[in-house]
Amino acid sequence: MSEHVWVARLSEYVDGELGARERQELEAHLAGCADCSSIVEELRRVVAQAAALGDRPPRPPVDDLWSGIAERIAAAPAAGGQVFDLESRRRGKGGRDRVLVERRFSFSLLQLVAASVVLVILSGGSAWLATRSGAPAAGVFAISERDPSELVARPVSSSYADEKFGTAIAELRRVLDESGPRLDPATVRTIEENLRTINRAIAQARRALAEDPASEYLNDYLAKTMQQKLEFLRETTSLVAAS
Amino acid sequence: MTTLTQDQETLAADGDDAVLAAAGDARAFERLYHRHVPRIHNLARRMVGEDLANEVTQDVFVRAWEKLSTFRGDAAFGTWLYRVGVNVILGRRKKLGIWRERYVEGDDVIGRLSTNPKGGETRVDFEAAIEHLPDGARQVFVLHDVEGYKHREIAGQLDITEGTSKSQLHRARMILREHMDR
Repeated sequence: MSEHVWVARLSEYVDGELGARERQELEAHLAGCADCSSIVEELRRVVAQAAALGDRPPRPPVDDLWSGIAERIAAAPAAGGQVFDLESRRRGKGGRDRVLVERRFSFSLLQLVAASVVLVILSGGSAWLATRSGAPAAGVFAISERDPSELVARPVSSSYADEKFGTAIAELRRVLDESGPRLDPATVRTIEENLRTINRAIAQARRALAEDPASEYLNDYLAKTMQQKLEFLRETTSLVAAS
Repeated sequence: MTTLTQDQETLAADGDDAVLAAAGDARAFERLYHRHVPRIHNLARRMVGEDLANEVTQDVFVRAWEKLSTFRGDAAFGTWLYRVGVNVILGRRKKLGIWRERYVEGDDVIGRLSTNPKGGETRVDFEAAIEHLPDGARQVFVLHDVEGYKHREIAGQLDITEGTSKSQLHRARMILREHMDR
Protein backbone atom coordinates (compact mmCIF):
# COMPACT_ATOMS: atom_id res chain seq x y z
CA MET A 1 0.00 0.00 0.00
CA SER A 2 2.91 2.31 0.77
CA GLU A 3 3.73 2.22 -2.92
CA HIS A 4 0.65 4.33 -3.55
CA VAL A 5 2.76 7.29 -2.55
CA TRP A 6 3.12 7.50 -6.32
CA VAL A 7 -0.46 8.71 -6.63
CA ALA A 8 0.65 12.24 -5.85
CA ARG A 9 3.09 12.11 -8.76
CA LEU A 10 0.77 10.69 -11.38
CA SER A 11 -0.05 14.05 -12.95
CA GLU A 12 3.62 14.77 -13.37
CA TYR A 13 3.98 11.36 -15.00
CA VAL A 14 1.08 12.08 -17.35
CA ASP A 15 2.68 15.42 -18.24
CA GLY A 16 6.07 13.81 -18.86
CA GLU A 17 7.70 15.83 -16.12
CA LEU A 18 9.32 13.03 -14.14
CA GLY A 19 13.01 12.30 -14.45
CA ALA A 20 14.08 9.11 -16.19
CA ARG A 21 14.75 7.20 -12.96
CA GLU A 22 11.47 8.21 -11.32
CA ARG A 23 9.59 7.39 -14.48
CA GLN A 24 11.08 3.90 -14.60
CA GLU A 25 10.25 3.28 -10.95
CA LEU A 26 6.70 4.47 -11.42
CA GLU A 27 6.19 2.40 -14.53
CA ALA A 28 7.41 -0.64 -12.62
CA HIS A 29 4.78 0.14 -9.99
CA LEU A 30 2.07 0.67 -12.60
CA ALA A 31 2.81 -2.72 -14.11
CA GLY A 32 1.59 -4.34 -10.93
CA CYS A 33 -0.99 -1.83 -9.66
CA ALA A 34 -4.37 -1.76 -11.35
CA ASP A 35 -5.59 1.11 -9.18
CA CYS A 36 -2.79 3.49 -10.14
CA SER A 37 -2.98 2.41 -13.78
CA SER A 38 -6.67 3.21 -13.75
CA ILE A 39 -6.02 6.64 -12.25
CA VAL A 40 -3.42 7.38 -14.91
CA GLU A 41 -5.95 6.62 -17.62
CA GLU A 42 -8.56 8.82 -15.95
CA LEU A 43 -6.12 11.67 -15.58
CA ARG A 44 -5.29 11.41 -19.25
CA ARG A 45 -8.96 11.67 -20.08
CA VAL A 46 -9.29 14.77 -17.92
CA VAL A 47 -6.32 16.34 -19.69
CA ALA A 48 -7.75 15.46 -23.09
CA GLN A 49 -11.16 16.84 -22.20
CA ALA A 50 -9.65 20.08 -20.91
CA ALA A 51 -7.68 20.49 -24.11
CA ALA A 52 -10.83 19.85 -26.12
CA LEU A 53 -12.59 22.76 -24.41
CA GLY A 54 -10.70 25.08 -26.68
CA ASP A 55 -12.35 23.47 -29.71
CA ARG A 56 -15.85 24.23 -28.52
CA PRO A 57 -17.47 27.43 -29.75
CA PRO A 58 -17.39 29.81 -26.79
CA ARG A 59 -20.71 30.57 -25.17
CA PRO A 60 -21.58 34.27 -25.17
CA PRO A 61 -22.89 35.88 -21.97
CA VAL A 62 -26.63 35.87 -21.51
CA ASP A 63 -26.71 39.40 -20.15
CA ASP A 64 -25.93 42.60 -22.00
CA LEU A 65 -22.53 43.66 -20.79
CA TRP A 66 -21.79 46.29 -23.39
CA SER A 67 -23.92 49.06 -21.91
CA GLY A 68 -21.94 48.94 -18.68
CA ILE A 69 -18.67 48.91 -20.58
CA ALA A 70 -19.79 51.84 -22.73
CA GLU A 71 -20.52 53.90 -19.64
CA ARG A 72 -17.16 53.15 -18.13
CA ILE A 73 -15.08 53.80 -21.24
CA ALA A 74 -16.88 57.08 -21.75
CA ALA A 75 -15.33 58.10 -18.47
CA ALA A 76 -11.96 56.57 -19.36
CA PRO A 77 -10.87 57.69 -22.82
CA ALA A 78 -8.60 55.36 -24.74
CA ALA A 79 -4.95 56.28 -24.42
CA GLY A 80 -4.88 57.07 -28.10
CA GLY A 81 -7.58 59.66 -28.30
CA GLN A 82 -10.89 61.20 -27.46
CA VAL A 83 -13.99 59.09 -27.01
CA PHE A 84 -16.78 59.64 -29.42
CA ASP A 85 -19.79 57.81 -30.63
CA LEU A 86 -21.02 59.11 -33.93
CA GLU A 87 -24.29 57.25 -33.72
CA SER A 88 -25.12 58.71 -30.33
CA ARG A 89 -24.21 62.16 -31.52
CA ARG A 90 -26.38 61.73 -34.58
CA ARG A 91 -29.27 60.80 -32.32
CA GLY A 92 -28.73 64.08 -30.51
CA LYS A 93 -27.20 62.71 -27.30
CA GLY A 94 -24.04 64.78 -27.58
CA GLY A 95 -25.18 67.93 -25.83
CA ARG A 96 -22.64 70.20 -27.46
CA ASP A 97 -23.91 69.35 -30.94
CA ARG A 98 -27.46 70.32 -30.16
CA VAL A 99 -26.53 73.96 -30.55
CA LEU A 100 -25.28 73.36 -34.04
CA VAL A 101 -27.45 74.53 -36.86
CA GLU A 102 -29.72 71.67 -37.87
CA ARG A 103 -28.76 71.72 -41.51
CA ARG A 104 -28.45 68.37 -43.19
CA PHE A 105 -26.20 67.91 -46.15
CA SER A 106 -25.06 65.12 -48.37
CA PHE A 107 -21.98 64.65 -50.45
CA SER A 108 -22.74 65.14 -54.09
CA LEU A 109 -22.98 61.96 -56.07
CA LEU A 110 -19.84 62.99 -57.92
CA GLN A 111 -17.93 63.36 -54.68
CA LEU A 112 -19.02 59.98 -53.41
CA VAL A 113 -18.22 58.32 -56.71
CA ALA A 114 -14.79 59.93 -56.71
CA ALA A 115 -14.16 58.72 -53.19
CA SER A 116 -15.32 55.24 -54.07
CA VAL A 117 -13.08 55.11 -57.12
CA VAL A 118 -10.09 56.03 -55.01
CA LEU A 119 -10.98 53.35 -52.51
CA VAL A 120 -11.57 50.71 -55.16
CA ILE A 121 -8.13 51.40 -56.56
CA LEU A 122 -6.57 51.23 -53.15
CA SER A 123 -8.52 48.15 -52.18
CA GLY A 124 -7.51 46.42 -55.38
CA GLY A 125 -3.88 46.96 -54.56
CA SER A 126 -4.31 45.93 -50.99
CA ALA A 127 -6.23 42.80 -52.02
CA TRP A 128 -3.17 41.78 -53.99
CA LEU A 129 -1.04 42.50 -50.99
CA ALA A 130 -3.39 40.53 -48.79
CA THR A 131 -2.70 37.35 -50.70
CA ARG A 132 0.74 37.42 -49.16
CA SER A 133 0.36 36.28 -45.58
CA GLY A 134 2.65 36.99 -42.65
CA ALA A 135 3.10 38.98 -39.48
CA PRO A 136 2.81 42.75 -39.46
CA ALA A 137 5.85 44.64 -40.67
CA ALA A 138 8.15 46.02 -38.04
CA GLY A 139 8.28 49.31 -39.84
CA VAL A 140 8.92 50.63 -43.31
CA PHE A 141 7.87 54.26 -43.43
CA ALA A 142 9.10 57.61 -42.36
CA ILE A 143 7.82 61.13 -42.66
CA SER A 144 9.56 63.17 -45.32
CA GLU A 145 11.94 65.77 -43.97
CA ARG A 146 11.03 68.06 -46.87
CA ASP A 147 7.33 67.85 -46.27
CA PRO A 148 6.02 66.48 -42.97
CA SER A 149 2.78 65.51 -44.67
CA GLU A 150 4.59 63.20 -47.06
CA LEU A 151 5.33 59.59 -46.35
CA VAL A 152 8.42 58.02 -47.82
CA ALA A 153 9.62 54.44 -47.84
CA ARG A 154 12.31 53.89 -45.29
CA PRO A 155 13.11 50.94 -43.03
CA VAL A 156 12.40 52.63 -39.74
CA SER A 157 9.82 52.24 -37.03
CA SER A 158 6.34 52.74 -38.37
CA SER A 159 5.08 54.21 -35.13
CA TYR A 160 5.41 57.76 -36.42
CA ALA A 161 3.60 56.89 -39.66
CA ASP A 162 0.95 55.09 -37.63
CA GLU A 163 0.59 58.18 -35.51
CA LYS A 164 0.20 60.26 -38.67
CA PHE A 165 -2.59 58.03 -39.90
CA GLY A 166 -4.15 57.93 -36.50
CA THR A 167 -4.10 61.71 -36.37
CA ALA A 168 -5.66 62.02 -39.82
CA ILE A 169 -8.38 59.54 -38.95
CA ALA A 170 -9.00 61.14 -35.58
CA GLU A 171 -9.28 64.54 -37.24
CA LEU A 172 -11.83 63.25 -39.73
CA ARG A 173 -13.76 61.61 -36.95
CA ARG A 174 -13.71 64.81 -34.92
CA VAL A 175 -15.17 66.78 -37.80
CA LEU A 176 -17.76 64.10 -38.44
CA ASP A 177 -18.57 64.07 -34.78
CA GLU A 178 -19.18 67.80 -34.73
CA SER A 179 -21.13 67.66 -37.97
CA GLY A 180 -23.05 64.55 -36.99
CA PRO A 181 -26.54 66.01 -36.61
CA ARG A 182 -26.25 67.71 -39.99
CA LEU A 183 -25.03 64.73 -41.94
CA ASP A 184 -27.17 62.49 -44.01
CA PRO A 185 -27.08 58.99 -42.46
CA ALA A 186 -26.26 57.45 -45.84
CA THR A 187 -23.25 59.74 -46.10
CA VAL A 188 -22.08 58.78 -42.65
CA ARG A 189 -22.43 55.11 -43.50
CA THR A 190 -20.41 55.60 -46.67
CA ILE A 191 -17.65 57.35 -44.79
CA GLU A 192 -17.67 54.70 -42.08
CA GLU A 193 -17.38 51.95 -44.68
CA ASN A 194 -14.58 53.78 -46.44
CA LEU A 195 -12.71 54.20 -43.18
CA ARG A 196 -12.95 50.48 -42.57
CA THR A 197 -11.69 49.81 -46.09
CA ILE A 198 -8.75 52.12 -45.56
CA ASN A 199 -7.75 50.45 -42.35
CA ARG A 200 -8.20 47.01 -43.82
CA ALA A 201 -5.88 47.97 -46.64
CA ILE A 202 -3.30 49.19 -44.15
CA ALA A 203 -3.43 45.95 -42.20
CA GLN A 204 -3.16 43.85 -45.36
CA ALA A 205 -0.25 45.85 -46.65
CA ARG A 206 1.59 45.43 -43.38
CA ARG A 207 1.16 41.69 -43.55
CA ALA A 208 2.53 41.59 -47.10
CA LEU A 209 5.54 43.65 -46.12
CA ALA A 210 6.28 41.35 -43.23
CA GLU A 211 7.14 38.68 -45.78
CA ASP A 212 9.39 40.84 -47.82
CA PRO A 213 10.28 43.97 -45.87
CA ALA A 214 13.25 44.78 -48.09
CA SER A 215 11.23 44.90 -51.30
CA GLU A 216 11.78 48.29 -52.86
CA TYR A 217 8.72 47.91 -55.03
CA LEU A 218 6.50 47.04 -52.09
CA ASN A 219 7.84 49.85 -49.99
CA ASP A 220 7.40 52.40 -52.77
CA TYR A 221 3.98 51.09 -53.61
CA LEU A 222 2.83 51.18 -50.02
CA ALA A 223 4.30 54.61 -49.35
CA LYS A 224 2.44 56.02 -52.36
CA THR A 225 -0.73 54.22 -51.40
CA MET A 226 -0.59 55.50 -47.86
CA GLN A 227 0.06 58.98 -49.17
CA GLN A 228 -3.02 58.71 -51.37
CA LYS A 229 -5.05 57.57 -48.42
CA LEU A 230 -3.88 60.48 -46.33
CA GLU A 231 -4.90 62.85 -49.08
CA PHE A 232 -8.26 61.18 -49.38
CA LEU A 233 -8.83 61.53 -45.67
CA ARG A 234 -7.87 65.17 -45.75
CA GLU A 235 -10.12 65.91 -48.72
CA THR A 236 -13.04 64.18 -47.08
CA THR A 237 -12.42 66.08 -43.87
CA SER A 238 -12.33 69.35 -45.77
CA LEU A 239 -15.57 68.55 -47.58
CA VAL A 240 -17.35 67.78 -44.37
CA ALA A 241 -15.91 70.76 -42.53
CA ALA A 242 -16.82 73.14 -45.35
CA SER A 243 -20.39 71.91 -45.66
CA MET B 1 -9.11 36.19 -58.17
CA THR B 2 -7.92 35.43 -54.67
CA THR B 3 -10.44 35.90 -51.93
CA LEU B 4 -9.81 36.30 -48.26
CA THR B 5 -10.82 33.53 -45.88
CA GLN B 6 -13.17 34.27 -43.03
CA ASP B 7 -10.28 34.18 -40.57
CA GLN B 8 -8.35 36.68 -42.65
CA GLU B 9 -11.41 38.87 -42.89
CA THR B 10 -11.84 38.73 -39.14
CA LEU B 11 -8.19 39.52 -38.57
CA ALA B 12 -8.40 42.42 -40.97
CA ALA B 13 -11.60 43.71 -39.40
CA ASP B 14 -10.01 43.44 -35.96
CA GLY B 15 -6.99 45.36 -37.17
CA ASP B 16 -9.18 48.06 -38.66
CA ASP B 17 -11.31 48.42 -35.59
CA ALA B 18 -8.35 48.35 -33.22
CA VAL B 19 -6.85 51.31 -35.07
CA LEU B 20 -10.11 53.20 -34.97
CA ALA B 21 -10.74 52.31 -31.33
CA ALA B 22 -7.26 53.42 -30.34
CA ALA B 23 -8.13 56.77 -31.90
CA GLY B 24 -11.17 56.95 -29.65
CA ASP B 25 -13.89 55.34 -31.75
CA ALA B 26 -16.23 53.68 -29.27
CA ARG B 27 -18.28 52.08 -32.02
CA ALA B 28 -15.23 50.33 -33.43
CA PHE B 29 -14.50 49.09 -29.93
CA GLU B 30 -18.06 47.84 -29.63
CA ARG B 31 -17.56 45.78 -32.78
CA LEU B 32 -14.42 44.29 -31.24
CA TYR B 33 -16.40 43.57 -28.10
CA HIS B 34 -19.08 41.66 -29.96
CA ARG B 35 -16.54 39.58 -31.86
CA HIS B 36 -14.54 38.64 -28.77
CA VAL B 37 -16.84 38.69 -25.77
CA PRO B 38 -17.77 34.98 -25.97
CA ARG B 39 -14.16 33.88 -25.57
CA ILE B 40 -13.37 36.37 -22.83
CA HIS B 41 -16.54 35.51 -20.95
CA ASN B 42 -15.68 31.83 -21.21
CA LEU B 43 -12.27 32.53 -19.73
CA ALA B 44 -13.79 34.58 -16.92
CA ARG B 45 -16.43 31.97 -16.18
CA ARG B 46 -13.83 29.24 -15.91
CA MET B 47 -11.42 31.30 -13.87
CA VAL B 48 -13.71 33.02 -11.39
CA GLY B 49 -17.03 31.25 -11.77
CA GLU B 50 -20.42 32.17 -13.17
CA ASP B 51 -21.29 34.70 -10.47
CA LEU B 52 -18.38 37.01 -11.15
CA ALA B 53 -17.90 36.31 -14.85
CA ASN B 54 -19.96 39.27 -16.10
CA GLU B 55 -18.23 41.77 -13.86
CA VAL B 56 -14.78 40.45 -14.72
CA THR B 57 -15.57 40.44 -18.43
CA GLN B 58 -16.48 44.11 -18.24
CA ASP B 59 -13.27 44.82 -16.37
CA VAL B 60 -11.29 43.10 -19.10
CA PHE B 61 -12.80 45.19 -21.89
CA VAL B 62 -12.41 48.43 -19.97
CA ARG B 63 -8.75 47.58 -19.36
CA ALA B 64 -8.32 46.71 -23.02
CA TRP B 65 -9.78 50.08 -23.97
CA GLU B 66 -7.33 51.83 -21.69
CA LYS B 67 -4.43 49.80 -23.08
CA LEU B 68 -5.29 49.95 -26.77
CA SER B 69 -2.37 52.19 -27.53
CA THR B 70 -0.04 49.34 -26.54
CA PHE B 71 -1.53 47.02 -29.17
CA ARG B 72 0.91 47.28 -32.06
CA GLY B 73 -0.43 44.49 -34.24
CA ASP B 74 2.46 42.13 -33.44
CA ALA B 75 -0.12 39.47 -32.58
CA ALA B 76 -3.75 39.03 -33.51
CA PHE B 77 -6.03 41.35 -31.57
CA GLY B 78 -7.81 38.34 -30.07
CA THR B 79 -4.54 36.98 -28.71
CA TRP B 80 -3.62 40.34 -27.24
CA LEU B 81 -7.04 40.73 -25.68
CA TYR B 82 -6.82 37.26 -24.19
CA ARG B 83 -3.54 38.14 -22.49
CA VAL B 84 -5.13 41.29 -21.13
CA GLY B 85 -7.97 39.12 -19.85
CA VAL B 86 -5.70 36.69 -18.04
CA ASN B 87 -3.75 39.56 -16.48
CA VAL B 88 -6.90 41.34 -15.34
CA ILE B 89 -8.30 38.20 -13.78
CA LEU B 90 -5.10 37.28 -12.01
CA GLY B 91 -4.51 40.84 -10.93
CA ARG B 92 -7.97 40.98 -9.48
CA ARG B 93 -7.44 37.83 -7.46
CA LYS B 94 -4.11 39.06 -6.18
CA LYS B 95 -5.57 42.42 -5.29
CA LEU B 96 -8.24 40.80 -3.22
CA GLY B 97 -5.50 38.99 -1.34
CA ILE B 98 -7.23 35.67 -1.43
CA TRP B 99 -4.75 33.67 -3.43
CA ARG B 100 -2.75 32.04 -0.73
CA GLU B 101 -5.63 31.13 1.52
CA ARG B 102 -7.51 29.63 -1.38
CA TYR B 103 -4.63 27.31 -2.04
CA VAL B 104 -5.04 25.70 1.33
CA GLU B 105 -8.83 25.87 1.51
CA GLY B 106 -11.46 24.05 -0.37
CA ASP B 107 -11.59 20.63 1.23
CA ASP B 108 -15.28 21.01 1.90
CA VAL B 109 -15.86 21.76 -1.74
CA ILE B 110 -13.81 18.76 -2.69
CA GLY B 111 -15.88 16.66 -0.36
CA ARG B 112 -19.13 17.84 -1.87
CA LEU B 113 -17.92 17.32 -5.38
CA SER B 114 -16.50 13.93 -4.65
CA THR B 115 -19.81 12.67 -3.39
CA ASN B 116 -21.74 13.86 -6.38
CA PRO B 117 -23.52 11.06 -8.19
CA LYS B 118 -22.06 10.06 -11.47
CA GLY B 119 -22.64 7.63 -14.25
CA GLY B 120 -24.26 7.51 -17.64
CA GLU B 121 -27.57 8.90 -16.46
CA THR B 122 -26.19 11.68 -14.29
CA ARG B 123 -23.33 12.93 -16.29
CA VAL B 124 -21.84 16.04 -14.74
CA ASP B 125 -20.97 18.70 -17.26
CA PHE B 126 -17.23 19.04 -17.37
CA GLU B 127 -17.34 22.82 -17.46
CA ALA B 128 -19.68 22.96 -14.51
CA ALA B 129 -17.35 20.67 -12.61
CA ILE B 130 -14.45 23.02 -13.32
CA GLU B 131 -16.43 25.94 -11.97
CA HIS B 132 -17.01 24.07 -8.73
CA LEU B 133 -13.36 23.36 -8.09
CA PRO B 134 -11.71 25.16 -5.17
CA ASP B 135 -10.42 28.52 -6.41
CA GLY B 136 -6.73 27.76 -6.32
CA ALA B 137 -7.04 24.40 -8.03
CA ARG B 138 -9.41 25.83 -10.62
CA GLN B 139 -7.13 28.71 -11.59
CA VAL B 140 -4.14 26.46 -12.03
CA PHE B 141 -6.13 23.82 -13.89
CA VAL B 142 -7.62 26.34 -16.33
CA LEU B 143 -4.31 28.04 -16.94
CA HIS B 144 -2.36 24.80 -17.39
CA ASP B 145 -4.71 22.29 -18.96
CA VAL B 146 -7.09 24.58 -20.83
CA GLU B 147 -4.94 27.57 -21.68
CA GLY B 148 -1.61 25.81 -22.03
CA TYR B 149 0.49 27.84 -19.61
CA LYS B 150 3.57 26.22 -18.03
CA HIS B 151 3.97 25.73 -14.30
CA ARG B 152 6.81 28.22 -14.31
CA GLU B 153 4.59 30.86 -15.89
CA ILE B 154 1.69 30.10 -13.59
CA ALA B 155 3.91 30.24 -10.54
CA GLY B 156 5.18 33.63 -11.61
CA GLN B 157 1.74 35.02 -12.32
CA LEU B 158 0.18 33.71 -9.15
CA ASP B 159 3.15 34.33 -6.90
CA ILE B 160 3.33 30.71 -5.81
CA THR B 161 5.99 28.03 -6.19
CA GLU B 162 6.09 25.62 -9.10
CA GLY B 163 5.56 22.82 -6.62
CA THR B 164 2.35 24.43 -5.41
CA SER B 165 1.22 24.85 -8.99
CA LYS B 166 1.84 21.17 -9.68
CA SER B 167 0.10 20.00 -6.56
CA GLN B 168 -2.93 22.20 -7.27
CA LEU B 169 -3.12 20.89 -10.79
CA HIS B 170 -3.03 17.31 -9.58
CA ARG B 171 -5.64 18.11 -6.99
CA ALA B 172 -7.96 19.55 -9.63
CA ARG B 173 -7.48 16.59 -11.96
CA MET B 174 -8.11 14.08 -9.20
CA ILE B 175 -11.40 15.82 -8.41
CA LEU B 176 -12.45 16.12 -12.02
CA ARG B 177 -11.70 12.49 -12.87
CA GLU B 178 -14.48 11.59 -10.47
CA HIS B 179 -16.86 13.40 -12.77
CA MET B 180 -15.87 11.85 -16.02
CA ASP B 181 -18.06 9.31 -17.72
CA ARG B 182 -16.58 5.90 -17.44
